[in-house]
Amino acid sequence: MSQDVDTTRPARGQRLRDALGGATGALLAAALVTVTAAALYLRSVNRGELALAQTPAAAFAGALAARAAAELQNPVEVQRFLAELRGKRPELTLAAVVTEPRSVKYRFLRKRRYLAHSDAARVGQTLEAQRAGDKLIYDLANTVRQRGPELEAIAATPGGVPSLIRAAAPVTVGGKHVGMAVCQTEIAKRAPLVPAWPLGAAALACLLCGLLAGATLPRRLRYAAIMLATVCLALFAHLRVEQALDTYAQLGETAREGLGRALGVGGAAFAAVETLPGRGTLPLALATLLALVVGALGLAGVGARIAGALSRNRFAYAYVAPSAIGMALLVFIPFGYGLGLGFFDHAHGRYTFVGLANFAEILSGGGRPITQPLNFYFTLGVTVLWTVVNVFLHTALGLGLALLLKDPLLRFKGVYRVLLVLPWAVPNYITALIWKGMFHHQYGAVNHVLSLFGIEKVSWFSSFSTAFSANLVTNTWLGFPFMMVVALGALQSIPKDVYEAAAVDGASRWQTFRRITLPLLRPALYPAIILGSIWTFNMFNIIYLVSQGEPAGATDILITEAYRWAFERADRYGLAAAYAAIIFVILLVYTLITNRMARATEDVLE
Amino acid sequence: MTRLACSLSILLLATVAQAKPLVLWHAYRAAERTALEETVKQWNDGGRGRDPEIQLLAVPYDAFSDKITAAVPRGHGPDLFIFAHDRVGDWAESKIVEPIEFWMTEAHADTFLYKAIDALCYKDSLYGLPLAFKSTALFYNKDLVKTPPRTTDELLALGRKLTDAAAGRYGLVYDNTKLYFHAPWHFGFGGAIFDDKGALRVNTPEAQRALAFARQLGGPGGIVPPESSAVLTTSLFNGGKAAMAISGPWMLGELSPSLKVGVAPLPKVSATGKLAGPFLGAEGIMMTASCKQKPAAFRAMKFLTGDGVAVQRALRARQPVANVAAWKDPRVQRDEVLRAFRQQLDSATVMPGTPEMRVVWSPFDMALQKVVGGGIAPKTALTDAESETRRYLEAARNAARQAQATR
Repeated sequence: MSQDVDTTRPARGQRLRDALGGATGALLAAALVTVTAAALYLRSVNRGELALAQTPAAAFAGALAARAAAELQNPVEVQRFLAELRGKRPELTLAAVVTEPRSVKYRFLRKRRYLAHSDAARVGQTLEAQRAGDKLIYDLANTVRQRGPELEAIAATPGGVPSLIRAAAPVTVGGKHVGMAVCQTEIAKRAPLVPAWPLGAAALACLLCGLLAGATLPRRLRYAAIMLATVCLALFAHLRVEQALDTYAQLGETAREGLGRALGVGGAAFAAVETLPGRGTLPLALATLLALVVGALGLAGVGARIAGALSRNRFAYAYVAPSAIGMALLVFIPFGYGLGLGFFDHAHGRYTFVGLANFAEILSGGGRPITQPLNFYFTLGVTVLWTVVNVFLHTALGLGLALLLKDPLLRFKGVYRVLLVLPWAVPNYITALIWKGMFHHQYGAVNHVLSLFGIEKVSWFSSFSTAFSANLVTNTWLGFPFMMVVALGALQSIPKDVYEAAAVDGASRWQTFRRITLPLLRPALYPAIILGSIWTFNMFNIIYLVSQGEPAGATDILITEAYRWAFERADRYGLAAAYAAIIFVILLVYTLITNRMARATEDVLE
Repeated sequence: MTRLACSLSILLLATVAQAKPLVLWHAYRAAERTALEETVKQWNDGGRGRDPEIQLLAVPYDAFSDKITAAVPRGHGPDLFIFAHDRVGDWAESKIVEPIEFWMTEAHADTFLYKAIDALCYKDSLYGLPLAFKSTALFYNKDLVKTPPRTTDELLALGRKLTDAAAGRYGLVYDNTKLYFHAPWHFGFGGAIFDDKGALRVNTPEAQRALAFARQLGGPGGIVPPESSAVLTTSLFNGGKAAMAISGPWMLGELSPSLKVGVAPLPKVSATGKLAGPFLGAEGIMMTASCKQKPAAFRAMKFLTGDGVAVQRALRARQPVANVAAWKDPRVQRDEVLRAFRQQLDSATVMPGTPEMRVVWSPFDMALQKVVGGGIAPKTALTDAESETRRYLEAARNAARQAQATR
C-alpha cells in the first residue's frame, strides 16, 4: 500500500520546490493583476469628466450668462473687459458668440458672429473665415444652445490627461436666446513630487534578473528578485494612479478658482464643480481583491500544486495551450462580455450600468399581459412547446426510419440512407427559405397539393397554430436525419444473440422492441436527445426565416426575441444580452437535470 | 492672441495639409456605382484643385450602418459616406456624423430640393448634402393598365377588374404589412406619426381608416395577394401577374426588359381628397466626426452633390437627384419615369430621421400584420402598437437619462 502512495505522490524535495514555485507564480500573478487593474484604472481616471451637480449648474450658467449678457449689449464694454482680463490672466480666453435664426427657410442656417473675443481683432467680425477653430466654437454654441451649460476637460490626445478646461453657457437676453459665452483656461501642471518611472525601471530590472538569470544566481536570490519586482510594480501603479487623481484635483481647482475669478463672480458659482475621476474605483477594488485571493491561494499551496502540475506536465500543457487560448478568446471572453452586457443599458452608443433592471424587466413580463407575444412567459411557453414537440417528432421519426432501414430484407438500403440523410446535408437556412416559399398562400407547393385534394388553401402564417405547424414541419424535416443516424449506429451495436435468445423464448416483436431494443438504445439516444433539444431550443434560422415570428410575434422563440430586441426594435443590446443569459441558465438547469437522470438510468442498467 | 481658436484647433490636428486621400464608403451597385465612380474620377482628375483625392470603398448595404456605428467611434471609419437619412438622428446623438451647416450658405442650400436637404437636418443642424431622394410610386404594366388610376376609388375599381385570385392574377401588389409601404395611405388618410411637439400620435381615427383601407386592399376579396412581400412584388409584377405595384426607384433595376412599365404618382385618397403621401428618404453624403480634413472633405461633398454631376447621375443611373437645376435639364425632363418620381416628391412626407422614429417601425408592422392578414379591428391593433411604441420610447428615454446622469 505504502509503495502505491509513494509512486503517485511526488517526493518531498519536489513538493517543496513546487511550493516555492507556486508562491512565486502566485506573487507574479498578483503583481500582473494589480498592474493591469492600475492601467485600467488610470485609463478610466483620464477619461473622467467634470460634473456639475444639478442645482448649482443653474447658478453657474446664470453667473456666466449674466456677465456675458451685460456685455453683449455693449460691445465696447466687452472689449474693455476683455482687455482688462487679458492683463490680469493671460492664460484665459473668453468669447461670446451670437447665433440667431437667420433664415426662415432652413432651420439649420443661423447668423453668427463674435461679439466678444479675447482676440481684439475678431470682435464684430462675421464668422465666414472657414477655420477649424471657428467651426469648433460654432458647433459648441449649437450644443450649448440645445443642451445647456457645459463644462469640459479636454485632453490634447484622446485618452490622455486633460490640459484644458472649458466652460460654456447659453446666453439669454430678455428671455430670448442670443448666443453663447465660452471661457477656457489651461491647467497649470505641477511636477510630481516623486517621479514614477524609476520604480517602473527597478521593477523591470528585478523581473528580468529573476527570470533570466537562471543557474548563475542561487534560487533564493531569484525568488527575492521577483518578489521585489512585484512590490516595485505595485508601488509604480499606485503612484501613477495618485498622479492622475492629482491632475484631476487640480482641474477642479482651476475650474472653481480660475473661471470664477475670471468672470468676476467669485469661486462660489463654481463651488459645485466636482471632479469625477471616471468609474474606475470598481475595477481597482476588484483587481486588488483578486490579487489578494490569488496571493492567498498561492501561499496556501493551491498555486504550488498548479505550478507543480504545470512544471511536471510542461509538454502536455504546451500542447493544450493553443486550443485553450482559442477557447478563451472565442468562447469565454465573448461569453463573459455578453453576460456583463446584460447589466447595462444602451442609448446612442453609451452604456449605462443598470444592475438587474434588464432581468427584472424580462422576468416581470415588462408590464404586458401574459397573452401578449412580447411577454417573456408567453415566449418561454412557445419555446418549450416548440422544443418538446420537435424533439418528440425527431426521435419518433428517426427511430422508426432506423428500424425500417435495419430490416435485413430491405433492398437498396444504401440509396435510402443517402436520401434520408440529405435534408441534414443541406444548409438549414436554405431549407428554411425553400419551405417558406412552399408555404406561401398563393404560390406555394403545399397549398397547391392541398387544392388538388379539394382542400381550401390555407393562409399558413396568419394564425398561430398554422404558422407554428409550418415551422414544425420544416424543423422536423431538418432534424430527423440526425436522430436516425444516431439510432442506426446504436442499433448496429446491439448484439444479435440477445434477439435470438428472445426469439427462442417466444417473445413477440413488440416485446423485443420494448424490452431489448429500447433499453439498449437509451445510452446512445439520451445524449442525442439532450443535444437535439438544446439545438431546437435555440433554432434561430427556422423561426426567423420561415414564420418570421408571424402572426405578430406569436411564433417567436426566446432566441429570435432576443435578436429582435437588439437589432430590430430599439437597439436594446443590454436587454438582448439579459435574454441570452436567461436562455443560458434555462439550458444549464435542463442539462444538469437530464444528466442526472441519464446517470440514474445508467446505474439502473448496470 | 487667438488662444481659444488655436488651442481648439490643436485638438483637431487638422488644418495641416495632409496628402492622405479622403475615404468614401458607399453601398451603390450597378449603374449608380458607375455614375458615382465617374464623378469621383472627375474630382480626382482636376476638380479637386489642391484638395486630396477621393478613394472609394464599396461596402455591402446590409452591413453598412452597423459598420459605420462600430468603426467611426474607434477611428477606423471613412471620412465620408453615402447613406439614407433615416439614421441621422441616432448618429448625431452618438457623435458619429459631423454637423456641416457652418460651411453652408442659403444660396448653396437653395440648389437642393427643399424636402431632400431638410431630411438631412436634425435638431437644427445639417448632417449631409443630399444626392437623391427616394419614395415609393405606382408602377404599372402598360399592357394591362392604359391610364393609371388617379383616385383610390379608381384604383379599387380597376384593381377588381384585373384581379382573378383563382388564376393568381392581381390588380396591385406591394409589401402591405410594412409601414414603409403603407405610409402613402397612412398620410393620405390624414394620419401622423408624431405631432408638432414630437409626441407619439399613431392611433388616430385617420390612421385607423387607413388601416381599414389596407385591409380592403389586401384582405379577402381584395386586389392585393395575401402574404405579399418585397420579393413577391418584384416577381409578380415582372411575371405580368400583377398589373400595378407600389415600389421605389430601386425596383427599376430589377424589372425585366421585355415589360412595358409606366410609373405614376400614387392616387388621391377618395375619402379625404388628399394625395397619398409616401415616405421620403434622402440619400446623402455625410461627413464622419473622425474625419481629419474637414474643410477639404466638405469641398468634396459639395462637388459630388453639385449640379453638373447631378445631371450625369440622373441620366446614367436614373437617380431621382436632389438638385433643383438638374430637373430643368431637358434630357432629364424627357425621362417619364424620373418625372413621375419628381411629381411624387410634392406629396411625399419626409421620413423623420430621429432616434424616436426607429422604434415606431416594428410595432406598427405588427399592427399591419394583425389587420391585413388577421382581420383584427384597426383600433385594437393600433392601440397595442401605440402602447408598445410608448414602452420602447420610455425605455430609450430612461437609458438616455441614465447616461446623462453618469456624465
